[in-house]
Formats: sequence, structure tokens, C-alpha cells
Amino acid sequence: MKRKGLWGGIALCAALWVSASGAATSPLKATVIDRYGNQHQVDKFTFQGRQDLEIYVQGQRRLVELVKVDRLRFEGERSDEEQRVVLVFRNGVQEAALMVTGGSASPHQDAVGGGSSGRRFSGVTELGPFFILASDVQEIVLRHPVGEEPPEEKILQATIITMNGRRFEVENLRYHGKQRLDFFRGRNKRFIPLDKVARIDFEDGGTGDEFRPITATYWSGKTVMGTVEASLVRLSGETDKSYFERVNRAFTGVVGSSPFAIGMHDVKHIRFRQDKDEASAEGSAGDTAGDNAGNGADDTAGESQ
Amino acid sequence: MASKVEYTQVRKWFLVGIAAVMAGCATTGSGGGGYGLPPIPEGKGRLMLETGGINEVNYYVLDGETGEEVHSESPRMAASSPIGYETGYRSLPQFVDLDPGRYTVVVNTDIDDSVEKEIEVLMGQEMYATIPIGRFQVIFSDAQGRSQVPFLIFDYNLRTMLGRGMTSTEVRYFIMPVGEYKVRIENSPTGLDEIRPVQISMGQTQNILIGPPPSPAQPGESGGEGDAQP
Repeated sequence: MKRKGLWGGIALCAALWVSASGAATSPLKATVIDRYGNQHQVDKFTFQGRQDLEIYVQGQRRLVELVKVDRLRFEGERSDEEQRVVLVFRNGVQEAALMVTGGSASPHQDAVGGGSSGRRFSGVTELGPFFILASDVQEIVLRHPVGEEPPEEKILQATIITMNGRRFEVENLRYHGKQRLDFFRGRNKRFIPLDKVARIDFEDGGTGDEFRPITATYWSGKTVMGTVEASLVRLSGETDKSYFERVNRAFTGVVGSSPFAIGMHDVKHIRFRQDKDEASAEGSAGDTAGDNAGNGADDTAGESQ
Repeated sequence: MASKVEYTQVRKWFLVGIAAVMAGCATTGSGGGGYGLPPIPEGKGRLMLETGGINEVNYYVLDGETGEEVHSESPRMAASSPIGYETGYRSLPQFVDLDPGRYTVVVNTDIDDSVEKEIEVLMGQEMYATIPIGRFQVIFSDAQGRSQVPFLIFDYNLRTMLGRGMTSTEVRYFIMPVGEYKVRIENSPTGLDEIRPVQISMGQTQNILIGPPPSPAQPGESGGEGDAQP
């Protein structure tokens, strides 16, 4: 009986140790194919020590979690500082983007510990630690656990009502390329997952105010209050493009077949639609967003970027 | 007989004294004023942040199932605040004792990007969450010495502004996710426009020095020991 208990304890300890060691490291595994066609089976796979990639989709910066990616193909030359990449996501969606791979660029003299570009994929192979410069990679195939469901990413549909009463039915709504809205509670920065909120109301800020108070109501009924950055002031050192994007492209999406973008200072309400509501809304003309639209014209043409 | 009673009394007081001293030591240790970490409370596990030598970060912990915030710490000032500086040396890593379960740790950096890590806390165990962040410092000097100047932090392509900061006359580091960025200081009236690349690596510090080049020594100002006095 005692021996049984002892073995049970050992088994429990082993299980705890295995789960603990697994939780502390990157769980990603990948097959990396270099430009010579060599394949490397890499565990604990990361890019620059991170588990996400910085890419540019239609000029907009986006961070993509590697756990959502199935494969990644580089379509540029080794010497290119920036390459076209094709990402195939686990849900089957394929997207073309640009990614800075470094090329032959060397770090600045101020970069402590430099000597090579930091843009590298790293991990562990059977032969030991592994790293490869991003410019030397041809293709990466992520090896996710068999049977594991890919992380769900909804295509958000929302009605945006502007300060002057115009209304837009927007698909694939994102805030600075993300499906979450960053806001401040006091001086603490937090985020609201846009797929969990039913509506966001923006209070009127005074002219020249850098922040606007918001109230977000979750589908669960929970309410969160805070402030969002809505500054129109051009900062010293900002380029024309970065200023325009910061001020006028806080929220982006698609209206009809046109791209849509709107600045934070110009939004009055955002009302999100759930999938089931959308199905029922097809039959009926009005939807929940209609009540408050009031006199607002129903614009389907996108407010151009 | 009397001496035996006296001996018993002395022994009793001696034991009471030792017990009191031990209790005092125990109190000091568990209160966090001693060296090392306090013991993990019963029924909880410990989540510790491995931040590559950065003393303090602003972070919060979300419950993995409900998404509710269960803990938060914000010891750092905003990067653009003119009064921020390093407050001192912290010998212990930041940690929090939590009920066993899955959590998401979100570490706020000095730019728009936060770093998130999912971790499972096990009862009675210390779990390290390695946060891939690093830090850099911008030291701006003018004729009066170090001064406060606002600057912007961009991505490497200078396409997107990710954050802003303020240099300090004190030691002040800015925390960012590992990666490559650019820093720009522009001051049109003085004609200053500096763009510097920043390579953030975990556990490393980068100092960016911006300011006028040292003026050449004037005759009579060299201050050498062998200079002849007029």
C-alpha cells in the first residue's frame, strides 16, 4: 500500500514537472527551409525572441501571432531589406504582406552588442541551439499539434456613427490593425477585446483635448470606462504619412468593397453585430444600430482614407 | 530544593527568550523585509516575471478563462512624462501569488505594443514568465549639459509612430519589446533632426548619445598638467 502511494506521488511529481517545463518555453515547432533547400526541424521557435511577426498589410503595420500561422513564404531576394511574404493562416486565409528582413543592413554603431542583424529566427534543433537570419529563409512551415483547433479570429462587423451623424456598416473592423482597442484607466493602459463588446460610446471631448472618455458595454453586460487617445496635434518629428495615419486611420475596415478609415476624434458610437443577429437582420430591414442613427444618412461608400 | 526551583525558573525564562527571538526572526522573514522571497501562501502558486534585468515594469494579469483582471502593478511613469527616472535598485523580481490556473500576463511597454504571455500557475510552485523586452536610454546634451527633449519612437521603416518619450537629466530607460526601431528627435528652430536606429535585445541596454560634438580645445584651455603658466 505504501509503495503504491509512493509511485503515485512520483507520477504526480513527474506530471507537474512536465507541465511546468512546457509552460515556461515557446511551444512552437517549425520546419525552416533555407535558400539552399535545407530543412531544419526547429523546436521552441521564435523570431527575435518573440512569438509574433511584424508585417505590413497594405501599408499598415500589424503584429501576427505565429500560433495563427500555418506557413510563411519569402518571395524576395536575400539582399532585399524588405521582402514580400505570403502568409497562409491556419484557418485557410492567405495574405500577402511586406516584412523587413534586414538584407545586408548592418546595425548602427550605437547598437551595443551588434555585429549582425537582429532579425533572425531561432530555436533548438537536435544538434543544439539554432538561428538563421530572416534574409536566408525561403519558407517556414509551422508544426502545430495534431488536432489542435486554431485560435479563433472573428471578422468583426460593426456600425460606426460619426460625430456629424453619418453611419457606416463596416466589416473587418480593426483598431490600428488590431482587434482590440487600447485605452487608459487613469495612467494604466488596458485593452478592450473588440469581439467581446456590444457597443462603445465616445463622449464629447473639448476642442484640443488629447483624450476622449469612452464607455464600452460588453455582450455580458459588463461596462468599462476609460479614455482613448484622440490627439490632433502634430508632433515634432512626425512624418506626413505617420501623422495622417495616426489621426485619420485609428479604425480601419471595409465598407462594401471599398477600404474604410476613420479617426478617433470623429467617432461617436460603435455598435457591433453578432453573427446570429446578422443572420436575423437579413430578413428585417432595421437592426439595432438603426434606432440611434436618427437623422444620419446611411452611407455605404467608404470614407476614403 | 530552593536552588532546584530557581534553576527551573531560569531555564523557563531562557526557553521563553529563545522562543521570542525565533518568533521575531520568523516575523521579519515573512514580512518581506528580510532577504529572499516570502514563502508561497498555502493553496497558491507564484508567478514571477523574468524581464532580463529590468527592475520594474507595469503589468497586469488576466484570468485565462474569464478574462478578468486579477492583479496589476504600475510602478513606472509614462514615457512621455517629464518627471520619470529610475528610482533605484530592486533586488527581487516582480512576482504575484495566484490561485492555480491559467493566466495571461500583459506587460505594458513604453510604446503601443504590449507583450503578452500565457502561463499556467501550479500550486506551490514558482513559474517564471519570460518577457522579451529590453531597454534603451536617450541622452541629449546641449551647451548647458543634459536636458529634457521630447522624441518619437518609430518602427524600423519610419512608417508608424509607436510612442513618444522625454529625455531626462537623470538616468531614465525606456522599455520596449525586443526588435529594431528608430528614434527621432526634431527641433526645427535649432535645426536639429536626428534619426537613430535602436536595436532592443533582451537583457541588454543601449545608450544613444545626441548632442553637439565636443568643441575643440582652445589655446590655454587644454588644462594639461605640463602647461606653462603665463
